[in-house]
Amino acid sequence: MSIVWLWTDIALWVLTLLSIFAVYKIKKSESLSRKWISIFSRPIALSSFIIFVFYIFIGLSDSIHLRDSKTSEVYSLLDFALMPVIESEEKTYSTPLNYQQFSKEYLDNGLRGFVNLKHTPDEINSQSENIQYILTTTAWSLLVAIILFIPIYWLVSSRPLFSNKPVLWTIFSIVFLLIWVINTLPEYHILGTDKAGTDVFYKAVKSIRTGMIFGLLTTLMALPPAIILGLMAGYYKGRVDDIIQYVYTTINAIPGILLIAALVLILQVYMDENAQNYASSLERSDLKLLLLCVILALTSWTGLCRLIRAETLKLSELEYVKAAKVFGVANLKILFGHLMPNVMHLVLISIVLDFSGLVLIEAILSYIGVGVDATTMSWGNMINAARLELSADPIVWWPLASSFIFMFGLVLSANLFADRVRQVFDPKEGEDA
Amino acid sequence: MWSYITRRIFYSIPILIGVNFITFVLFFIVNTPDDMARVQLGTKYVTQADINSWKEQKGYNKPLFFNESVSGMEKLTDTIFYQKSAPLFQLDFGQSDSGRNINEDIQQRMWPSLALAIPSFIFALLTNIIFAVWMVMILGSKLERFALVFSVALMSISGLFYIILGQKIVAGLWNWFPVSGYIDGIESWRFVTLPIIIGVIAGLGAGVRWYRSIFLEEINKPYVNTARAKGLSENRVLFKHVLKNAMIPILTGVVVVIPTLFMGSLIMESFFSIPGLGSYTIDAINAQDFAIVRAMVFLGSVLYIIGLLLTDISYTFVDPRVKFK
Repeated sequence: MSIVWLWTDIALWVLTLLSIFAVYKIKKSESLSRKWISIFSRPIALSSFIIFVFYIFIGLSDSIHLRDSKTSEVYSLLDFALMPVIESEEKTYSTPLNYQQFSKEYLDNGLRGFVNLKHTPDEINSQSENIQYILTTTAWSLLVAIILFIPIYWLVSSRPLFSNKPVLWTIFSIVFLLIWVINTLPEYHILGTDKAGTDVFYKAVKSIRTGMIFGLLTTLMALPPAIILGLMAGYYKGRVDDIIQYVYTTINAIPGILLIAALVLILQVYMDENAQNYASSLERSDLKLLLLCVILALTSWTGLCRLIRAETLKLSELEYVKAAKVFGVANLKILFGHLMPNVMHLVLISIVLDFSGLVLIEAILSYIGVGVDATTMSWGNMINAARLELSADPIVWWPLASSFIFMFGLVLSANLFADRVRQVFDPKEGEDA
Repeated sequence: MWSYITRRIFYSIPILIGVNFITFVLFFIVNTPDDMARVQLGTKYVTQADINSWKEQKGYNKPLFFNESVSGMEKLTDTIFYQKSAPLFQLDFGQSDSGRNINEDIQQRMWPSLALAIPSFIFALLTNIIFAVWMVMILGSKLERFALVFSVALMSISGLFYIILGQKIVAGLWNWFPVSGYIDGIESWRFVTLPIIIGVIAGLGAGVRWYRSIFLEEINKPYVNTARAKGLSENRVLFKHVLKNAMIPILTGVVVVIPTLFMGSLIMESFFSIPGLGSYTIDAINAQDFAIVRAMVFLGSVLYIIGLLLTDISYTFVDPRVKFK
């Protein structure tokens, strides 16, 4: 076993370290911690944050890759947890939690009938036995979850932020869901299988990492140009401002999705020509994901840049900036020491708001054919593949439904959290902090 | 006013040149004409001679920026950059890589696009504003809280979900509308109604919140307090004063989008197989027809710049405080 570092793994872990550092900084600053406590004082914000963090943990566990020295196959930590369903590929479709295949085929006795799946409890031979088995597992998981939840409740309920129903319910649901999945996964295809017999739950869970990377890396890569150019335009004014404004108006003028499509097409042509340069298809698709983020960042920094420019224009007229100038403080120090901290609320709001939008865009890009690599598991690719299955008879709904539900969970929790962050940090909102 | 408009038009020329330069770099330098030839001719069994003849046929056989072999101004004009850019500024898009006349295609395909885009735009605008006004009317109530969370949920659902499900249920199961396709003329309403409804619903969450925030910003201004102090009823304050003043940010935010409606909607058109400019672009992307993609990028930029110009002009119409400078 040796660790394989993919580019996106490195980026994601650097990001994790940065956010740990940010938390440390926030804890030290009193005014900032007060703001964050005020964010979490809304149960709905804290609940969605907990769900969001849960997604992040899944994504992170999928970002440590190990190469098996014998078979030289690369698996992530998450893959090891999901191994039972990776190793049991079925022949074709099966509905969620079923013990039989979706379509009939010829049996040994020459008649047509439903074949039992490979990955199913041995002793089950009828639908009612199947339901009974599932109910027993669920009841058992519920019991374990309650027992496990008692110490958590005891630890958490003395803290004012956590002692309310929505938050406790969220924590309990996550605990229960985890235990239920741990109990069910070795016996069943929880969300059924797709046309090629691959487990849908596995695909949907693996897509979390793709969506997360897409949202997080793109937003973060767009920050440096947006912040630096926005500050410079607002502070130096004149010629510098003209040039920076010209650059972002020009980029804005190009229809976003077309610019992305054009860049991705070119990337595709380039990568196809240099296909021999990549060690494995995993590394190739990973690099493509990273470059896709770069492309999206290139087209999406302009919005924040314009906001920061406008804010800096206002700030640089204030006394404290003028005083700093008179005292002979260097321009760079004024820009990054005096002005930047005062536009950070805009940056934070844009990070949380853009994230969810990007996760949704990934699906659309994959549909147009300029999204992530076809071998990368992503909700966009799942939706794209499942689109035609809806017109099948009888209808194949579960791959599509699974990808939508997983995506909805991530985006909704991110959106609800973002909403609260904006309420607290945006001086214009000021309804009730 | 005319001098202002002329000056603004002159300002937009450098932006168009910039756009053109970026697209040129993308389509001709990163992706050389040789690459394009290979994509169009297929990758196997293609000799250099085939590539050269394809380039000659499509006019890609000249130097990129600077031609040493000719004299005078032709050094600059007899190049791919000039030959492929100058016609764009006269909105002459030439031929696609597969040999079709792009201008004719655009003229033919703009009507289905407009038939879908204009009603979608108008209905979405009206629905969003109506719901936003309703939410301001019940501001602070439990119902409003719920509506707010609900609109967050609406905007957290992928647009593809609305399209796929709408198409499946309304057209597929209930048979209210055809699943996809298009007929020119009056009959077209049967084909565009469903995409319009879906488009309005898909944009509702984000739209309502956007207009609501505009109204809230307006409602905190001093003139609203004055109006209330005079003893006007809440409804009168809202509809007579707030709505009227909020029209300024709404109008100016909306005007910039209007010209780009022309480009059609990529996703809607391709899902409902409406033969508009959006599906035209998607087809071009899938076929890697760079001439069409480049034409559409340029066209989109021109329309966006027209939108910016209209925004500036519309400011002066709705807000007498803004003067032409």
